[in-house]
Amino acid sequence: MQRDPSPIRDEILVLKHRLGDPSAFEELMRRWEPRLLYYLRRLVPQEADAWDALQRTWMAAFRDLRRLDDPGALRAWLYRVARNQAASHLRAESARRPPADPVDPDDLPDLAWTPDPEDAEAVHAAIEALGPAHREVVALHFLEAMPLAEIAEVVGAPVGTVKSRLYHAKRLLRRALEAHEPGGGRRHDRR
Amino acid sequence: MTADDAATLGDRLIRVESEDAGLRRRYEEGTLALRERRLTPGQKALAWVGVPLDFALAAAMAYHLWAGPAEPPGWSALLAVAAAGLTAIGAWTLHVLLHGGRVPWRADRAFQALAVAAGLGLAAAAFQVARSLDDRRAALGMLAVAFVVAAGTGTGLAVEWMKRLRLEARIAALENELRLAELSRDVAALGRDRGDGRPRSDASPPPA
Repeated sequence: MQRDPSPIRDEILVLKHRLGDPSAFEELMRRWEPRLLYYLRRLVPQEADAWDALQRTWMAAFRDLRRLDDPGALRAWLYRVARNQAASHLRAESARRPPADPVDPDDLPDLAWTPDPEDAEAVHAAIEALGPAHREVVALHFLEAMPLAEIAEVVGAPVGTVKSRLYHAKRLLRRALEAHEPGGGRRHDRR
Repeated sequence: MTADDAATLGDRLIRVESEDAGLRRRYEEGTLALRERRLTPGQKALAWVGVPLDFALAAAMAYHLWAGPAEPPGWSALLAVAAAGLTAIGAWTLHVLLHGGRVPWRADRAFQALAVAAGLGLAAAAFQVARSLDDRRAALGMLAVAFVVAAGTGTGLAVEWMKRLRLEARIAALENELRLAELSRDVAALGRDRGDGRPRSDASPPPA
């Protein structure tokens, strides 16, 4: 099966970085910076913290990228590095984080609903209103269309927990979007 | 289809979010540090002590060659190579120190090339010394030194070369895969456009 060009390009850049090509890492930074920043801003409360975490993400990535065994797994690896950097900001809060959702994730139906890209502004505002754990999974899901297993790898939680968080996040988002546009709720359905 | 039409929800979410220009500027200044590494204060102190010693040793060797008693040609070559190597390493370290302890990527590469050249030069000089020695035991010992230095440098070079070859082969294969992937994506987009009844950019006018 033909792969998407974007991960192939990333893989080439990782290998070129290993060869010592300094422009390869700069290109990787250019390609990933907007998405990582968006993700980090969903994890830390202040914008300045997100920029700091992003800078430290690149420092760590530059140091450790040569040790990444499978360059094809760059996406999950980069998000994991970014998450670890954000976690150092959030250590105090994480101790107070609520335990995993009490609902059994296997009982949850698949919520294939995805908002219309036209509603990006309203979706962005609605994401802000979610809790940190929900914000994180929904950002990865919407930014990258990441499969559950990959999100679980990034956030370091079981797939069931991720499924549960995504389910609840989407339900809350859907409700918020319907409230945002009374009578237009059906427009957001994109299956 | 405009680029905006094709934007995914993720792309649009990123576009919606505003950012502080001052924070971005500070971030970009910080990432400049990725193009170089900095010596730690301990390394800097060590380098400041090492540079004068380095130059003094090189000067002593050069003086010995110039004004000292005549040496066999092999010894002279060994001294000359060692003096040149020490001078080069000292100059490189001084250059780094004078630039605030910053080691750009190119300087690191230059140091590696210098180390390889010095290793090979030392091996050649030790071989010459071994040939010029009358004492068989001492000659064998010097030959062993030449062999170990040459083998170490050669193995390092060969490993690096193999690694580069393997990486370059993987990159070439991936570049072919990328071309194919882009081609099939373009073909699929063309098929979609035809299906939508949209005019193609290279469509010729219908015959009259």
